[in-house]
Order: sequence, then C-alpha cells, then structure tokens
Amino acid sequence: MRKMLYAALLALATPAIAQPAPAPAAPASAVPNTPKNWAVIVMTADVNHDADEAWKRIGGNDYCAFIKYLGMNSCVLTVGTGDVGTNRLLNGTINELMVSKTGRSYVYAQPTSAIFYHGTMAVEPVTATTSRIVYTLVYDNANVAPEGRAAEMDRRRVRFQAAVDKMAADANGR
Amino acid sequence: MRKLFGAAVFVLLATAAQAQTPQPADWITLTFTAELNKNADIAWERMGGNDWCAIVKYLDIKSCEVVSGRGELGSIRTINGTIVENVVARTKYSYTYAQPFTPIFYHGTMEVVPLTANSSRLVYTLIWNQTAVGDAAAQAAARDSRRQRFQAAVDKMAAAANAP
Repeated sequence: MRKMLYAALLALATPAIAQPAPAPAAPASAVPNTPKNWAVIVMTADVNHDADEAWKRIGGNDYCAFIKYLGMNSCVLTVGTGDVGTNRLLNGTINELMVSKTGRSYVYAQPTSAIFYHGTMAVEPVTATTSRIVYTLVYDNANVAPEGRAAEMDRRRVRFQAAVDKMAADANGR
Repeated sequence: MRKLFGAAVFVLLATAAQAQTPQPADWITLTFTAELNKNADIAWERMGGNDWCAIVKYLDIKSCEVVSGRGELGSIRTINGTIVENVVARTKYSYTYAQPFTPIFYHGTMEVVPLTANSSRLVYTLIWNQTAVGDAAAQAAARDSRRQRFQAAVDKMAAAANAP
C-alpha cells in the first residue's frame, strides 16, 4: 500500500495532472498562500552560427515551431500571432501564454497549472559566429514528495535536453 | 493506511485543481519604452538591471526586500512586505518576474534592447488577467493606474541611464 501511495503521489505530480480544468471566476483572495518549492532547470546546447541565424533556424519567431522538437502532436494559436499575450494550445489540452518576448527569447506560462509552470527559450550570442541555445524551466514542485523531486526534475531535464539537442542539430546543419 | 491513501489523494487532487487565475482569461498587455543614449551594457547597469530590488528607486513602492537570490532564476523578492515576486526568466539584458500568490497571473519584464554602440532602448512590459480584477470600472482603474505608475518609473529609469 505504501508503494501505491507513493506511486499515486508521483503520478499526481506529473505534467499531465498539472493541467486542471479551467476554474470558475474567483475573488481576489482565491490563490492560497501555500508553501512553494521552486525548481529551476537549465538546458543548453552550442550552435556554430551567430545568435540571429540560430534563432531563425530553430524557429524562434514561430510560437508553435518547437513542437517538432518535443514530439508533440499539435499546436494551435488560439489568441494572438506571436507577441506577448499570444496563447498556444498544445495537443488540444495545454494552454501556454506568452508572457514575455525579447529579440531572441520568449517566455511562456501555463495559466491554469497548479505548479506555476514557466519555460523560456532563448539564444544567447557567444561570439560573432557562434551562439548558445538556453532553455529554462521554473515551476513549483512543492506538491512532489521531497524524496521524489530529483527524479521528477530529471524526467523533465532529459526530455527537454533531447529537444534542445534536436534544435541545435537543426541549427548546426547545412 | 486506506484512509491515509484516500486523504493524500484528496489533498493532492484539491491542490491540482487550484487554477492560478480565473478562466476565461482576459489578458491585458501594457508596453512602455524609452530611448537611452548609452549602450545596453551601461544602461542595464545604471538602471539596476543587476540589482534585484532596484525597482524600489523608480516605482512608487515603499519597500523591496530580497528574500532569496540576486536576480537569477528562482530569486524571490517581497514588495511592500506583502507581494511576492519571483524571477521566471532571465537573459543578459532582461528579466521576467511573476507573482505566484495573486490571482491575476501578473508578469512583468524589464529589458534593454541594444541599438548602436552608444544607444539602446528600455522596454518594460506588463501582462495580467483582467478577469480576476473585478467589473469594467475596476479593470479600467487598474489599467490606468499601472499605465501611469510604470510610465513614471520608466521615465525615471531612462533619466538614470541618460545622466551624464
């Protein structure tokens, strides 16, 4: 039973469960001031092109381009065209709002996620002819049992590092 | 053990069901800009881009306390003793912060855009969900208040960057 309990706890902490159905309108005090445990994951890959070229090659200006690297089935822009405030719907279930954008980065957040999930895709200049893809995740994993947090973060790290590696391969090709 | 299991599942399901912000959302975005007569490196430093609480010098707030970090990802600050903000994104000349405990899903970004060897542009953006603010009058008041307060702050930042 104990194993079952831990399995249930871990299962409830997975990204799929972090996408609850939209909640009804709430008063200003609706968000509980519960304890948070901020997880930060940083993934990088080097690119043998300058930052502008790398950003273009990995589809940085297309808010849906990244799904081919993460193996997702669909991405639809439901609001906006790629500026701050644009919303993309992933696999028909996950809403991600663009909350920030710079010349070679964007930040997305999941407004209905209980884990306050944020991701950033960026390309940073290194030299005049090289650059680096930097992909970061920030979220609250307080709902994961302390002994399970490292494994939970590793699962995300492995999945997103693979995506970043594919991005770099695309950028470095040709 | 069965009761414990049931209670744990109930608590976690209840937690997972807590949306961060009411839906359907009504997103509002405000963008403020100012031209700077210094390059991005100098402007970023002068405006406090590397100081996680420098905003207290420009925005009409009473206090900013660094709870953790120095502005890197995951850093936390408290504004006026009550509003918690954490860094959710960071580049060389920008950072994005969020408010994990407010229902409006508030995010702000401060950025300096390099233009030439001796000029740059300050860009400050805000986005939040108006659905959680109240009726149309309350939403308009919130928009106008932030527009006025942050434009004033951006003007002060620009003055600090452009000073001889």
